[in-house]
Amino acid sequence: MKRPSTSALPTPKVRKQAPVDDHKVKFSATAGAAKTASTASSEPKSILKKPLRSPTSTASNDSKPKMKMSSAALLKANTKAASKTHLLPKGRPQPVAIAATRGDVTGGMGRKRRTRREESDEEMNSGDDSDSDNDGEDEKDSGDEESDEDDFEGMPAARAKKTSKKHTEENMAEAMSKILGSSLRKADASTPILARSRGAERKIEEEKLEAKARKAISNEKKRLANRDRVKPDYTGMEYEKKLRKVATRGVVQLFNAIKAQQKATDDLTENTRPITTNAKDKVANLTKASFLDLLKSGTKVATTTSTPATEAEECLKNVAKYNKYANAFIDLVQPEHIRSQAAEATRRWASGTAKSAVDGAVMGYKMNFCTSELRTTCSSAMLENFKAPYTATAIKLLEDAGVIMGGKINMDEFGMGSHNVYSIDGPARNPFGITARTQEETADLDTRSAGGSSGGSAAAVASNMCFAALGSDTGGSVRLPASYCGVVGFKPSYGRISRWGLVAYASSLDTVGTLTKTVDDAQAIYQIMAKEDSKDSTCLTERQRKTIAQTIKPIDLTMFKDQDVKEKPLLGVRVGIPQEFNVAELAPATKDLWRRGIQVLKDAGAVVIPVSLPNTKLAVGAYFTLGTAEASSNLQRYDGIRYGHQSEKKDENDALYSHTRSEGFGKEVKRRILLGTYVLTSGSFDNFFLRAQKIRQMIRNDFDRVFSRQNAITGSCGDNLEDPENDITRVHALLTPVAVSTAPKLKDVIGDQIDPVDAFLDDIFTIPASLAGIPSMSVPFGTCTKDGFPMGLQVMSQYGDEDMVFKVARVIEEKGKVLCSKKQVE
Amino acid sequence: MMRPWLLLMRTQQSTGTHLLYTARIRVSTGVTAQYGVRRLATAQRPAHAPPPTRNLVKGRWEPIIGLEIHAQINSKTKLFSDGQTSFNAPTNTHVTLIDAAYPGTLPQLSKECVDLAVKTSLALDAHVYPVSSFDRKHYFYPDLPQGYQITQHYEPLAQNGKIALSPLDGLDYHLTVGIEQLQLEQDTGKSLHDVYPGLTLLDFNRAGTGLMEIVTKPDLRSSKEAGILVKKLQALLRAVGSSDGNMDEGSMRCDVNVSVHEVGKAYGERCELKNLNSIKSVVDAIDAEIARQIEAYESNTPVTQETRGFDVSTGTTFRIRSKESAPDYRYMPEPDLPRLVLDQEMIRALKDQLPELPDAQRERIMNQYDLGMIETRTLMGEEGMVEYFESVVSKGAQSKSVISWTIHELLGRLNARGIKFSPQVVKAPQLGSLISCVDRGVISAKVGKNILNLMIEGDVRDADAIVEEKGWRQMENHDELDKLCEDMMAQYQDKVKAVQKGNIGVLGFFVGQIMKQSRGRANPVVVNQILRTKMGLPEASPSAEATAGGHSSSEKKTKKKQ
Repeated sequence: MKRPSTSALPTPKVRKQAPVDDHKVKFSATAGAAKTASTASSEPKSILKKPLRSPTSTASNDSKPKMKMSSAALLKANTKAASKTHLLPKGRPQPVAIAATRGDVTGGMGRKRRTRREESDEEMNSGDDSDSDNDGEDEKDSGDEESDEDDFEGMPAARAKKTSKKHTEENMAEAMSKILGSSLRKADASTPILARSRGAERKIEEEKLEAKARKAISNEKKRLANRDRVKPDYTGMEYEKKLRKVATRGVVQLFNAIKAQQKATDDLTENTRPITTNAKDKVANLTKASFLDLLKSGTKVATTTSTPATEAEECLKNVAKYNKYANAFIDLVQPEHIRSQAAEATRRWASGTAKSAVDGAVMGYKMNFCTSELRTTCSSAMLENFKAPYTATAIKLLEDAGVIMGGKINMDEFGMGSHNVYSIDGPARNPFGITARTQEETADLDTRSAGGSSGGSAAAVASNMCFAALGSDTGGSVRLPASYCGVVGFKPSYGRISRWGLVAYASSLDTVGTLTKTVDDAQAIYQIMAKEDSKDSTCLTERQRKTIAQTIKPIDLTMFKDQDVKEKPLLGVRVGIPQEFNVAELAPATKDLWRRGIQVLKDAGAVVIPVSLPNTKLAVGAYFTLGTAEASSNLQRYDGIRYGHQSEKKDENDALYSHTRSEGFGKEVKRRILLGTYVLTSGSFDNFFLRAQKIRQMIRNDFDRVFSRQNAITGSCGDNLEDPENDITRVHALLTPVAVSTAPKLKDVIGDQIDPVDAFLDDIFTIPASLAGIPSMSVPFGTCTKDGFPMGLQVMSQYGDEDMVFKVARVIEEKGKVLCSKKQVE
Repeated sequence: MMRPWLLLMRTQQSTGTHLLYTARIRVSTGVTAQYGVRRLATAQRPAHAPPPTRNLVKGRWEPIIGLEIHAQINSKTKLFSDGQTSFNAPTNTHVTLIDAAYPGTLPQLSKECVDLAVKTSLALDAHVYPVSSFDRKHYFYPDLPQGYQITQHYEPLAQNGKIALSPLDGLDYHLTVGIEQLQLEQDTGKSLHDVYPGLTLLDFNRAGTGLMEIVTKPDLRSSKEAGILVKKLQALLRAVGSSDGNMDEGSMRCDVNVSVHEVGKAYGERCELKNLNSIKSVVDAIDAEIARQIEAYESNTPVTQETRGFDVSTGTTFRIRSKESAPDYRYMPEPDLPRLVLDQEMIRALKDQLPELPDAQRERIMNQYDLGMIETRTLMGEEGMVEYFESVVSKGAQSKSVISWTIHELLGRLNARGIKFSPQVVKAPQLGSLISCVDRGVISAKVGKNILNLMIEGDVRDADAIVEEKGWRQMENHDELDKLCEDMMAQYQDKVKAVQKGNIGVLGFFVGQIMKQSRGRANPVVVNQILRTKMGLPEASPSAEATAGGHSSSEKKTKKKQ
């Protein structure tokens, strides 16, 4: 028997297609699978092709009664049902509750959707859409990469990608900045995800015709050239295109409907937030010296003024000062215990026997990491008094390296939430700017969200209550709070760090992440924790780690001058800017920040290239389908029998489960369990779960196709490219924003008036990396000119290529300690 | 290892038992249109060589029967944890954090369990897939700690096996029963209802133990076929060493799908019979269910798809739940376990490790030792007895006498005492020495039986040592025997006359008396000869009486049992 397969195995013919979700197994489709895929694509395409308009543009809803209930409607129905009914009396969704709300919800949704007539008008106007309807077939036949273009019609990005093959990198970079600028200008609040310029449509139309002709010629050429090597490429484009056709029902609707909802609530946040904090405070945290820096010098530490003991003292002081406000630490280790451990570490440093670079550092752990000392509540009433009888592997490794536990930290219940407000211990508060204030003043701060679900961890690090903190990242739970609080949030590749002892939310997405003050700290902690663990079967083995290390070749610097190499750390590195991340909701300040980030990378010698991750728009829907499904499964174990809360209520009908679970779980958790339960019911499994898995695969393929390094686990680079490393259209890393804006006010994200689907959008930039399992880091990069709160940029790279993330992030970090320019874009 | 504890829990009895049955239901044929389920295109009629119509009830009703067998894997540790497997251990003493589904724990697949399951699959002549995967099957029940059972719903370990039944197995004809699939899954804990009234106690010792679910194709047509199949499967599992296969201890459990239809017409609705815990109840339940369904059809009552139980006391089946109330298990791929990848080398290595399988073994020992069918079946019916037999024979004893001493004397005595056969009770060399003593004529068969009794009671010495100590060596000394015979003839002169008149049977009386006098030490063959000579009878062919006569009664007993 072997550990997880590192290479793809041919699937025996007898088997029908099975759900694919092992990130370690290359998806190889049988002929049967492809066939299923193509037959299932009868759904009208217009839903996918055209973004929904704002609700004001809808007039009638004649065709609605027949319409199948969209998944978003169900989502709503479920959430409503959740608030009305007891949870899951017998482990099954409540068909009655859903059926009851079905009618109203569909009607309600109908009004917000476009009618079919409007859709056909739209098609006539845009002219090109009739073409695009046929494109599916074209794509299938040609199997040509360039046919992709039509999916991004009207998007300058796609064009840029195409032309980029012919131009120099310099030109591409220029094109890129143009694109960013133009799409900013054109961005229209009513266009939901892609910046799609209506004004330029006519011109684009002409260009498209031309492009089509060019394409036809080049297709023919390629066809002739490739005639002799006809190989079915099931892992590449061909298959993926077929998949894309199938995968567009259910989840896309879910996503679109979520978008429509979002529009309806009209929540573009930026203008609603006045400036509240003192400009002086803004960078206070960002410039705070790292503990690691002080300790790095090894035995010399004894001669400096800073020792683990003084640092621990500092942490304890900050806890006393700020924890009441930030509400980060929930359970604290006895100060005396911390002091004595720190004193020991100090002695070790003095005698030159320090266990590691972070020996003696005080760290906080998110409440969903099991530790045998303090409670492990997951911020839930269900586990309020739960003390784990064991310690998580990640924490054990840190303890072995000399790290001192400071305490356990607030979070969103079971990791479900984006603002750390769904916690039994109350919300964590964003401490940004707090260090410059006195304790009395803190009450005046206009309370902001610390992000979630690892909000407490980010807050604790930002207010220097600890050297660093562990968080868990399922869909962005480390990166979002890091961006909001102005710290470094790092999510390594899935499988790098053992999940043993991390209470599961969605097992295939959960990743142990770190929150630190600097990139160096993150790297130091990460390297301690990234070890093989036989207790977690999804954790990479030593052998796999070695293979990955061998796959990743160093960047060839022979063609550069030594002097340049010294001055420009990113020489030879190509960084991609995914066009699909340029959404309409992006606050102007965020866009500005992004643009500055690009400039910083260019200055450091990197070549910046626009790239396309076409399936990004499907990510949120897929994430909430898979995430909730796995959550509903993982949370089945909380029945109050072996541990955790057990209801005192007694009644006739064997209500052990329903009472215990409806008392123990909070609102958001119930909502997700209910949604996940629905997703997994036999009637909807195919429509939701499997579709979402296919989308996940497509998203992975998207990434594989833009990275110049092949996916070390699947061996895939998206296409049958011979040498992706030297393909100048491929990149080593990606740069995107982390969140659409700075931290929102808590009052805007708390309370019953908040629509849960709005909250789902907080993670739109972080979810793709989670679905693909690739490493991703949120690096603080300046503050917003409007409210002075910090914002981060996200650096992603290919699976297993954490070093590239660190490399690029370090450059961003260094330049990031500058305020945003005063110049506003709009 | 966790501290042992006993859990108390409130639950209402009525609904409790109802839910208990939800533990292992799988709709086995046709109807499930689950996406991507690795299941062959199943019609009720098997694709491979359809057996002719047979075993019609009342001349026109054809029963269609398929089995689902859950066999506990005979491994040291549980399927996904290093917790020890156990049977009848004190409650909750073999429970790890993983077994109790503590937050943050993750399953770790046991190699031993996989090896045994692969071996079983190979023994069933099934195709073992190089890649298989695990899935979660969800339902709430207190003895299911995770809230889901890890199983192999979409991609089972192996498919397409078969078991051949033949007249040697007790069937009147040859029949090949297809094995749909074999999959790995977890066992649940145990709920103990009403030990204290109104309370259900939970014992998680069994939770997480590995199970093999073996599903047959609907190839069976009678309860007899089903019973023989279960027995044969049991023997196979024991031979492979993958499961104890004890239905009474629950290490093997059997669910049966039964439908009945009129020959030439469409198949009937199928009912699933659950929780049958002996071969007898499997057979009886099938018969009862066939009768019930036929009666329903004959009285024009529709038979609906449902799950039924079997009441041993009344010999009837009863409804547990209908198809409508069947739970939705919300199968989901297990995200905590990567796919199970087996390379061909490893599968081949396991195949080489397979012991001799029952069919091959049966053929071999029947030929090699010239044994009859009944003897062979008895020999193979007990775990380890064939090896025991062969080890005694290998020491040079006659196979005929060894088989007699093993299955008649030893097994008969063990059965009478209610002891399960084990090679440890009377070790093979001990029995070998005993047989050798008898065969050499050192002791009589009667004394031999006494020695065997001593051995069963715990004497661990060889027969020779016991004979020496007890002074039971047979009297070979003719003078001594002569004297005994003469005394006896003098005592019963009338009987001597009877013999001399031709009533040979009375000779046995003398032999008996002399054996009694000598406390069994006399060699009856020699005594017989001396008596005959002294009474002036012709020389008779001796031996048969001494050996065969002594065993006739126990042989009858064994035959009756079979």
